[in-house]
Amino acid sequence: MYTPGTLLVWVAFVLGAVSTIAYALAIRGSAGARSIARQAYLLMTGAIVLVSGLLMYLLVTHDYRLHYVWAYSDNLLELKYLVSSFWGGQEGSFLLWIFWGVLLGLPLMRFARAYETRVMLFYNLTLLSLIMLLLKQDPFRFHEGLATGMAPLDGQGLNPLLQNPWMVIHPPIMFIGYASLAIPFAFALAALWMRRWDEWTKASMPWVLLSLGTLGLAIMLGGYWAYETLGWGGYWGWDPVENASLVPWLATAALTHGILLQRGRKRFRRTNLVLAVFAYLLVVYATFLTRSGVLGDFSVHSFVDLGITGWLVFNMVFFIAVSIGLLALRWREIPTEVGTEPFLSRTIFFVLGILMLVLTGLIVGLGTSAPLLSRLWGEPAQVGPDFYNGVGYWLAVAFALFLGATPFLGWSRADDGAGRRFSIVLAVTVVLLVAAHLVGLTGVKAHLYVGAVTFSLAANCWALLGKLRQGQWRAAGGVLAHVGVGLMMLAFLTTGWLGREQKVRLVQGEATEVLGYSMTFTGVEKPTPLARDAMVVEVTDPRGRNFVLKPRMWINQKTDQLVANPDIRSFLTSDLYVAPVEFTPGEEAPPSGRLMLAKDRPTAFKDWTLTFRRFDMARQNAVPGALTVGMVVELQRAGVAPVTIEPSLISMSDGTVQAVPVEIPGVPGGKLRATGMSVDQGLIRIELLGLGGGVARTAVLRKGESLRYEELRIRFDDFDLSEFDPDAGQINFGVVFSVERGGETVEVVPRFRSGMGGDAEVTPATVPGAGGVTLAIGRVDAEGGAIELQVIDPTIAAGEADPASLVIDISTKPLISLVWIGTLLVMAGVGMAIALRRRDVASIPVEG
Amino acid sequence: MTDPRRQRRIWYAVGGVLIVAFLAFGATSFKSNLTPYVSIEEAMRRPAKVQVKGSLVPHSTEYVEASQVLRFGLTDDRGNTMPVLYAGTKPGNFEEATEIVAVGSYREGAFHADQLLVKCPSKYQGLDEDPSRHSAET
Repeated sequence: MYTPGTLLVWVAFVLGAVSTIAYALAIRGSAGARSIARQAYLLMTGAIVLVSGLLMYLLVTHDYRLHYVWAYSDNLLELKYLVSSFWGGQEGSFLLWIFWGVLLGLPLMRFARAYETRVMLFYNLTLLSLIMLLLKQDPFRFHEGLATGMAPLDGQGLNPLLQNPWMVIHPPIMFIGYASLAIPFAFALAALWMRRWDEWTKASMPWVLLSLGTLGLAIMLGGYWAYETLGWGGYWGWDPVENASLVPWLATAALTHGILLQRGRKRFRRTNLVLAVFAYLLVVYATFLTRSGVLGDFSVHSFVDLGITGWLVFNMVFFIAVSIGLLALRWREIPTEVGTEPFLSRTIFFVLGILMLVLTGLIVGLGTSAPLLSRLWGEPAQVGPDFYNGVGYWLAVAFALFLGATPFLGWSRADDGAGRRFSIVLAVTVVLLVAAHLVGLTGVKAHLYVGAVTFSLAANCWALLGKLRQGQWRAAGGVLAHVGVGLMMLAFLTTGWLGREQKVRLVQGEATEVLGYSMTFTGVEKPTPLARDAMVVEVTDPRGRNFVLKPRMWINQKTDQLVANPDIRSFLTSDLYVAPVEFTPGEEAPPSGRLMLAKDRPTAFKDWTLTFRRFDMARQNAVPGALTVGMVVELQRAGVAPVTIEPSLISMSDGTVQAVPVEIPGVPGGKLRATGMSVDQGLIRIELLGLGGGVARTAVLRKGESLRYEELRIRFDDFDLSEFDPDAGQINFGVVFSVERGGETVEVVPRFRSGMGGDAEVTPATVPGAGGVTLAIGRVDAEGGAIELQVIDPTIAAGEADPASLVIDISTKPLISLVWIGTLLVMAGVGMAIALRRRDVASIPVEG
Repeated sequence: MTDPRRQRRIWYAVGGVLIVAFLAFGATSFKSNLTPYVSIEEAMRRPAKVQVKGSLVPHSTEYVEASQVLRFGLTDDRGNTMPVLYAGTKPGNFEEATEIVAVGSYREGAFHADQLLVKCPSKYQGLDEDPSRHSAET
């Protein structure tokens, strides 16, 4: 282990324990003990900050002696992803949680007022329970079995799917939410202990809202990441890890409303204590579910059991025992009052809203726990999205109706004039629903859902406008958040039910009509060898706008596996979502001919004249770690303006050479590729593809045998071994053909040279006066004395290139922008509520 | 005007019935949506909706143009292999998955999956190799 790190974790644990014990002593009124407790807490905070800084430092400096650094980072990671590899694994994410936990404790200590000693006592316990996990599962441990002084040279790297900017910020925000949920929990326990039933809700409200905001934002960031990266086209998959964060969020939302009720009506004390306790217990339970490996077979996020299951169970049992015990002990003492509100009042609707949130939480919790529950009566089983969507539908409809009705109601009865407003809102809803029907909404269930959601949107928008008109914008946070929720609910339907999807194969260079879009796959883009291959798809949308989408498909070097990322084009009303499915590389057109070009000496090829002008070293560092040499070649053709193209050769550091072909402008499928160069002699060897011509005939000939090709009679005479010297490493010989044409016979000698390993090099020879017909040698069978003759004729038609093709999955996501807009509105509403409720805290007396 | 107390009691009764009905609906829905988790051998024997865990047979993935489905081989740790057909969008990390859970049913010689859970090595812990092989003297 890395001693300073491990030691500091222990120090933090001991300081936390000291702080806890000192707070326990301070309950009896010892001011000295309280000051020790506070100082110990400050020191623990310092130790945790140091521990975090140390781990970050070790990650950034690539200290691969540490198992954690080795397992989650590597030398190629950018700095931001090195930072995010901090929370790439279990240990680091627990550390991040603790980090936020201790930091949040500082303002908590200051603002807990009369509740400080007890709140901090319980809060410390929640922190200790987490630090304990780090003692068991030390992030600073070294590799097992490594001799001292040994360290791996490179790490395993961070999962490429996590190398995404959203994944840099998603976990930190999520853990602020988790960490802050311990605060209302501690307040509720302190309130039970002290029998101070009302003030705790005011003191914890800003924290509850902080949890609500950060958890909600983090959940949606996670969804956005999934949408943008994973390529299955959605943002929510009802995966256990997603659910594990949703359920505490629902409990927090219920608690927020419960606290508002208690504030407004001085009732519902039991409800709120239970909600605050359960919101945190759910986090502990979710931690157990997702981190112990019990759901390993059922989750996309495979958190592996690291041997901390026992500790997680211990934590869960401990906190359940303490909190449920305290609740039971005090239950009968909690004052309750019976209300007299009629059904149509905000009070009752709040209660019902809370009930709905709790029910939703129960349903999701039940579904997530299915693998555990079903073990009670049989083999482990799981429920899929159908369960959540089917049950959630009815909850959502009812929920939207309540959400829409609340603005018309006062705490104890319906508002004056509510009837008139209600009729107007209802009319607006009907108009919108009819509009939706005309646009193409079908199905009774969809109409019911859209009707309920538009009702809630219309009602809350009206209420929002009303608040703004009356200048009560400070109090508009709740309504604003509800408008956001309505928008999100609308988008859940449109993206889930109304999207269209189709798979299609795009042949390179051919436009294909799909879902009203015209799409053309133009090729693979890979600016550098390290870049991820992008499939370039040119799109024309139904309104004639042009744009380019670049879904990616690339091989992860670490695992040698194919990874695909979608690309998305967002419009106001819909997203176009393109995920790559399969890429088939095509085959190039067959070579038309090979030429040797000397500097500034025009060389003819068919009706083209090619001139090699110069080597271009301007982009020699275009590819990191390799030398790129460009070759400027001029092409001329009668009747066409001359063009200059620049093929290049890349010499990689491992000794291999890569040729980068360039397309010949104006010739579909025509390409020019450099295959060799000699900088001293100013020579380059090139290959022309797809210009027509090529190998017209091949035949295996023995000495004395002949082949007829049109009016030529080609006879294999003998080998020319004048330069053949195997001892000097020269396997270099010519093949002498006598070619008879119209009674005239000439000798044509193509040459064959086989290097020390590597490909044989053939120098073809042209038959004089035969319209450019060239002879080359394919394979050579030295023992049998046979050769393969290739007759290259520039006049035969161009061989067909077999174009590459790309299969993509195209889908439209109508109104998906409302999910993100809705999220932002909810965040803004929660932020406004924090600003409003912050001042309540000051009304609570200070302890002592 | 009716007595508000009485009115409330009626609403409570209605609400209570609705909630009980909903819970019953939720419970039946839960029961009917449970998909047991079985081996390949058993999945091939049982026509019901099940889920099977396995790993991808290397290089077996192909896109069947005519029916717009993805076809691949799934093999489990007992060495059984079966073809899987999947009509949805191929998950981006599909080929990289250490493990694939297919949810669906077996019929007509292939497993028709309506959902694929791809275990992204969210963590590379599953792939852990002996680190000493990558080591060098420092």
